[in-house]
Amino acid sequence: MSGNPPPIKISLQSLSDTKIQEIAYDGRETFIQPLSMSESLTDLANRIDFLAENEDEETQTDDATSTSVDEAQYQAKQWPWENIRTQIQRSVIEMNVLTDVLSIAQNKPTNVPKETAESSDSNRYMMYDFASKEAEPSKQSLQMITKKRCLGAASKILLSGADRLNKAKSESSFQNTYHSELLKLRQRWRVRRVGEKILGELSFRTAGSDYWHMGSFEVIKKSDEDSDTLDDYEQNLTKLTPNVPKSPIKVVVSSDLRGFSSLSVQIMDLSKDEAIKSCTLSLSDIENSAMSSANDPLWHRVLCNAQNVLFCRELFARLSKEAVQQKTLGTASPIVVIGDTITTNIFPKIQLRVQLLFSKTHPTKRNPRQASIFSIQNALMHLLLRYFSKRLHISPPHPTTAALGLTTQMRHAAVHHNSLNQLAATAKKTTLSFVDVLITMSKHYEVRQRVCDTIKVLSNEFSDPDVLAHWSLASSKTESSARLTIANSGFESCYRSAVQVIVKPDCIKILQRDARSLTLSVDPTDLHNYFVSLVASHQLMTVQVLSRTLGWTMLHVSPHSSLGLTPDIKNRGSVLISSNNGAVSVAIACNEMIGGPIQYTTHVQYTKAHDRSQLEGTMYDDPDFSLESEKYLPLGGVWMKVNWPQLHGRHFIQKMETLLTSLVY
Amino acid sequence: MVEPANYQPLSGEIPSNVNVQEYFLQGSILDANADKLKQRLQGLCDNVPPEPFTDHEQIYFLKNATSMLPIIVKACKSLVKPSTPWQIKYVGATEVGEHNKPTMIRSCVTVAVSNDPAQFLDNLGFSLQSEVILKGYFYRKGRLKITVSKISVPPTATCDTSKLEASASSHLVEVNTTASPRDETAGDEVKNFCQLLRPAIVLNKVDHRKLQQWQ
Repeated sequence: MSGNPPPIKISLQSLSDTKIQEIAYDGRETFIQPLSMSESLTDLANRIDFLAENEDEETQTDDATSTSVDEAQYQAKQWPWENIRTQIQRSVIEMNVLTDVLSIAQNKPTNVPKETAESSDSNRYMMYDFASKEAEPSKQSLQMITKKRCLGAASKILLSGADRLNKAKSESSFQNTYHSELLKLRQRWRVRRVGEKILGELSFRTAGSDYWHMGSFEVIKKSDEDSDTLDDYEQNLTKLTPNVPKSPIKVVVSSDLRGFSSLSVQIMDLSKDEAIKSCTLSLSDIENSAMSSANDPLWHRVLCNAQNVLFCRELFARLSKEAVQQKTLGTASPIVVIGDTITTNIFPKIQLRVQLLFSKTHPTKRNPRQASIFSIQNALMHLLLRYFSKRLHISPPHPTTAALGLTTQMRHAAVHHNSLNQLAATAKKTTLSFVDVLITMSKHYEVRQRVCDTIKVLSNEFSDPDVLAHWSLASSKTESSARLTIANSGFESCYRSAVQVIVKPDCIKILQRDARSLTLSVDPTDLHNYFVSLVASHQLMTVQVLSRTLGWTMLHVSPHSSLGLTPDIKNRGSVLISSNNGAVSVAIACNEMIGGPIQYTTHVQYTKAHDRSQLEGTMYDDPDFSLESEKYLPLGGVWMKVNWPQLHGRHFIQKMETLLTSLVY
Repeated sequence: MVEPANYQPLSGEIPSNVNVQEYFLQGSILDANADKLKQRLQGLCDNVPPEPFTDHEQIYFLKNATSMLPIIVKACKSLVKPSTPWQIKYVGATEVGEHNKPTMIRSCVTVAVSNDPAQFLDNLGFSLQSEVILKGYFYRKGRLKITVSKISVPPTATCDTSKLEASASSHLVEVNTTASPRDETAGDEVKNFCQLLRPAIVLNKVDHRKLQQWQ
C-alpha cells in the first residue's frame, strides 16, 4: 500500500461486561460487581512489589559506579507491565524448576524415548524418600488400658453368644427331647412316616431273610401323665439293668414279639435222664456290647428283645422245616417235631433236643451248672447268616434273560460236559442244611466226650504205664484228633507207643505207628477193648526191647491169643525169652480177667546150676545116654512161678529188669 | 448213589419244567427322569447294588405254516461278561388277557447254549429279523427281575461296545418274573411292584398285536 495513512489512534476499552457469578435456577444472573475506585486502587497497590524496590535500592548503594547503567535500566523499565512481567517470569522460572525437579525425581525424562527409560535407573540424580516421623514415646499404661478395653469388648460378645447357647440347651421342653429321642431312634432303627403314624421295621429282610413275619412296630409319643406305667414285661426289662433313663417315646411291638426268647440245644442221656450238655442260643449273647449299653432307653431294649425273639423264631422255623423234610438220616431214630421241640436220638440212648423257649415276662435262665457248647451256638448263627447272604447276593444273570438264582459255576456247567458226581458235589457244596450240621456236630461232640472219658478212666485204671493224651488244636466242626502216648516212667527211652485217635461223628479211627489203621464204632466198649490191648502190647514190647538190651534172646512172641485157660481169662499176649547162655528162660503172659483189672503172670524156668552132681543117680547118668554137649542141659527144667509182689521194682518193667538181671548172675 | 429220575441238578432250587410262563409289564421313561426311577428302584428292591449289564439280543423268526404269527426265538449274549454262555429264549404269543388279569403273560423257555447259535438256528430255518443292544441296570426283588435299559443299534463293522448310539432318548423299563401257569400270585406281585413305581413311570399292559402290525 503506498501512501500510508497517518496512524489513527484507536483507543480500546474492554467491555465492562461484568462476570457472571451465578445463574440461579430461575434464570436470574448474579453478577460480580465491578471493582469500585478504592478497590481498584488497592488492587493496583497490591501489585507493587516492595521487595523489588528494596533490592533495587541495595544494588544502587552497592554499585555506585554503575548507577548510570542502573538508571538507564531503571528508565527502561518505566512501562507499567515490566514489574508484572518480571514477576511472572520469576514465577515461571520457579515453576519450571519445580517441574524439572519432580520429573527428575520420578525419573521420567521427557526427551528420552520410552524404551530406554528403564536403563536410566543408574543415572538417578534424585529419589523420593519417606518423610521420617518421630517415633511416639510408648506409654505402657495407656497401651494396657486400651488392650484391656478391647479384650473386654470381645469377651462380652463371646459371653453373650455362649449364654444364648446354654439357654437353648438347658431349656428342655418336652417337645425338644421328643424330637431328639426320635432322632436317636432313627439313627438305630428303620422308621418311616405313614400318614399320621410313625412306623418302623425290625425284621431281617434287608439282610436277606424271607421269614413271613413283618416285624413292624409303632412309635408313640408319650404324654406326661402316663410316663410311669410299665407292665410286667417292661418291668423285667428294666430290672436287668438299673439305669433306664425316662424317654418321651414309647414303642409298641406286636404282642407275639413281646417277651424273652432263646433257643436251647440239649444233649441228654436217656439212661441217666439228665442233660449231659446243653447250650442256649439267643441273639443277645452274640450281640456286640458296643451296640447296646446300660444307658439305653427302654424303647431300644424293647426293640432289641423283639428282634431277638424274631431271630430265634426264624432259626427254629428253619430247623423244624428241614427236620420235617429230612430224607437221609444219620440218626438212630427219626426226627420228631412237636410244637416248639425237635427231638431225635442221635445214638441209642442219647437224645438231642432243640427247644424254642419263650416267656412273656421272665428272661430264660440258663442253668449255670451246665456249660454251653459254644461251637453249636456259633455254627447255627453262622448258618443263618450264610443263608441270608446267599439269598441276597445271588450272582445276577448275564445276559438278563438267563435264569435267576444259579451260581456262576452252574451256569457254566449247563453248557459244558459234567458227570453226575460232579454236579452232585457242587449241589452239595451250595446247599445249607441246618439239621445236618446240627446233627453231625452234636454227634461229634458226643463221640469226643466218650473218647475223652474212656481215656481218663483207663489212665486212672492203669497206673502202671503212663498214658498221656494230647488233643490236637487243629480240629473242625466234625472232626478232632488226639495223640495217645504210652510210656513207662524211667524207661521212656526204652520203648514208647504212640497212637493217633481221630474222632469223627460216626466212627473212631485209630492210626498206629506201623501204619495200620483201624476203624472202631462209637460204642465205648470197643474203645475200651482196644485201649486194653494197646496197653498190654506196649508192655510186652517194652519187655522185648528190655531183654534185647540186656542180652537176652527172643524165643517166641505171640501177640494176642485172646483165649485163656479159663473162659473168664483173656490172654493179651505172651513172650518167651531166654538168657544169652541159654541157662534161663522166662515166659511172660499178659492176662485180663473179664470184669477185672489186667494181671501179668510171669513164669520163669531156669535151669541154671544143673550140675553134674545133681544128675548122678538119674537116668542121665547112664553112660549110654551120654550128654555130649551142654546144650541139652537146659532142656527139661522145671517152670517156677515168680513171686511178683516181693520183687523189687515200682512197676512191671522195673520188676522185669530186676528179674532178668538177677537171673543171669 | 441213586437219584430220582427227574433229578435236575442244574436248575437251582426250582425245577425248570415248571416255570414256563412269563408275567411281565413294560414301559418307558425319558432319560432325564431315569435317575429318579433308578433311585426309587434301589430303595424298593433287594439290598444289593444295581448290576450294570450290556446285552446283545438277536431276534430270529420262523414262518409258521399253521398260524399267522411267526415263531420268535431270541438269542442273547452278555457283552459285559463274555464268558457266560449264550441264552436262547423262546417266546410265545403275548396274551394281554382280560381286564382282571394283572399283567401280560406269554410262555417262555430259556436255555443256555455253548456257542453262537446262529448256525444252529439257521439250519433249523430261522432267519434273523433284528438285533439290538440293551445297556442298563438290572435290579431284583425276590423273584422279580427289573431292567432299566437303553436300546441302541449294534455297530455292524467294528462292534465297538464303547461307542453306542442310542436309538431313542428314553429308557425301556421291564418288570418280569417266570412262574408256572398255575401260580396266581406271580402276576399280582408284578402288578403291586409296578404300582409302587408310580408316578415316576406307569407300567401298563401294552397290546403287542398293535406293535406287531407295524412290521
